[in-house]
Amino acid sequence: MMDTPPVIPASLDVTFPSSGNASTDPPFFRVKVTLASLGLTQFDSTLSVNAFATGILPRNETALWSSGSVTNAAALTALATQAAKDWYLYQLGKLDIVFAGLAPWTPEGTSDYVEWTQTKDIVSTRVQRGTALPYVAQSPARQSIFTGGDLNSFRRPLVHYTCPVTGQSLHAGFLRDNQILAVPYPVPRTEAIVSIGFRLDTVGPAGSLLRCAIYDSDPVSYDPKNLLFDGGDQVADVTDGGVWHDVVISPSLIMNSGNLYWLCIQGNDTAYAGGGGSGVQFGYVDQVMLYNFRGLGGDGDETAKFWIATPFTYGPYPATFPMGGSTEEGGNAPAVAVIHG
Amino acid sequence: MELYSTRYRQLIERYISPKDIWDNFPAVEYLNALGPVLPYRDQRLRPIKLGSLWWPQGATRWATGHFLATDKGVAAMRAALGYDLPNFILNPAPLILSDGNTTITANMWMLPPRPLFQNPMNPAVSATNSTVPLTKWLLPVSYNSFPLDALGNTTEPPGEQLYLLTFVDDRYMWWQKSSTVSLNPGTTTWASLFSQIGTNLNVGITTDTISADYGTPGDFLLPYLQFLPVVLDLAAFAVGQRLVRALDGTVSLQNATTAMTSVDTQLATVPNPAMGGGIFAFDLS
Repeated sequence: MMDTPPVIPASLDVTFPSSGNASTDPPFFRVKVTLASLGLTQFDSTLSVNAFATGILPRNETALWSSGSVTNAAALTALATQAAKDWYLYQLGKLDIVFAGLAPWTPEGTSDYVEWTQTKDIVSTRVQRGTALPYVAQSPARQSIFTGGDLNSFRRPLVHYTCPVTGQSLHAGFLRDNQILAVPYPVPRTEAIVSIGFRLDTVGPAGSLLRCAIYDSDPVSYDPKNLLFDGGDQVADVTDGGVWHDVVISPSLIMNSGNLYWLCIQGNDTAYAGGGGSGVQFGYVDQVMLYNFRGLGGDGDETAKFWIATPFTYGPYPATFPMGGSTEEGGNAPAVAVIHG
Repeated sequence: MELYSTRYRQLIERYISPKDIWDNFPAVEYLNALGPVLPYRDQRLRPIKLGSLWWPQGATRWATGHFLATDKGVAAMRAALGYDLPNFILNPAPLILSDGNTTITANMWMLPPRPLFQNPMNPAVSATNSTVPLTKWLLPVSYNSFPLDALGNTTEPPGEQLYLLTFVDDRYMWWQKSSTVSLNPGTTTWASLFSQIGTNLNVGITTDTISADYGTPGDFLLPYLQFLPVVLDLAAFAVGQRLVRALDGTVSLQNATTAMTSVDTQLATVPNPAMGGGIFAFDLS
């Protein structure tokens, strides 16, 4: 027998990301499940269970909020109970053992691995259970999916990310026609990008289209340079209530750490007409940090500049970004964003 | 394959990074980008252990065996495996470990043999190789020049170059299977999802009963469909089960009860005495 401290938490908080109103609903719905409530007698209350500890078991199923309450609470509670029970039972994996010789051990679900070793010095078989308490990584932690404020500062799966110079409050604004709008996207660590998207707030006239793209950057000027992905035409004349339109990138696009990329969008709606008040309304993000982006904002007008607009007749993105006639832009930035896997 | 000395093991573990072994692995960048999504220890950080067959749980990790062989051994093994490299035909073959009492057999693939400590300046066999003046950096020791007596391997013929052999099971190849899995959140069932993944991997996947409380697969799996091993492990965890690939290649998802029953049965019947480690105590029985 090996001695073990009481490492099993007496309860689990099973958490579900929320789908609701960011300003009124909590980001997660939590179901507390106690070990005692599950009737599992395999754990000795003194040897194994820490009466003061609560573990976190994140799930991906969405808690649906409406009028201040969760409409699928019963289903989530049943799911939480089952998930907690399975999690506790897997904690009973009990082996970290070495057998003499080659043991005919059949791999099973509680052991992290079986290792047979045969050298001049030793012939043995080791069977070892998994990591002690993997509850914080049982499944990919997912952030809440609110109808607003859904651009996040920390890059996690299934969340939209855009230029970090922006804030996170979304506004509707008119999309300029015959221009490519490009926002910088620095990548501190290598990421696999699985989609690029935009948020359509008000549809344009029949035939309105939007188109996203990703460019890499020139290593010297940091200007957008080579086309990496063109998302193709996306309809912008169908009412959808202001949700994100994501274009899947498959296979995923690897963005390498330490590099700068540019997220681009263009539209074909001519109703903007240099500032007019009709047509496609598109998501823009607050610019809350009044700083220039490296390479931009050098025109001396003391207005922070961090994204680019360049003239371009709507259509497929060119292989090389058309910098000719481009202008440096500040203020609210176009909310074109990516999701990484 | 060679049974080698402790000295060799120490040299290899000291001078060869395990990351070098997997530098041709197809999804290294993807794994890096995934971060801590999966709860497993990072296989790529696992040290090279000669003379071992490591058999992990899960779909994203693959069984690995590291061994040594001479160039003649490598040539013989390639011939036995029926490799037809010009036509890109590779075949798995049974890897057999035996201690006289028990035989462990598993179908494995041989990755490209990696030359070890070879001296490119001195391809000819000579006892004086180690005294040739060095005009450029050489690896710390070569099989040719190292004094064999000090290794205790006096029976090994001099003049043959050493190779590190790395064997992997089918799960390594799963990373290179393209996916045609169709997942419609809220409609596709767990059973259908596992069945589709199995079809894509060309393997049957059995599951323990999946509780109805787990509902149906959610959209959180969609970004991971690109690589079948990832979505398979995530889906297994999502329904409270773990993927187990047996030595004979059968694949199953086990819940904790099934797994613990297997452990208890094997503890009662395995003939080998325990020589280290032991059993964690979660109760007083």
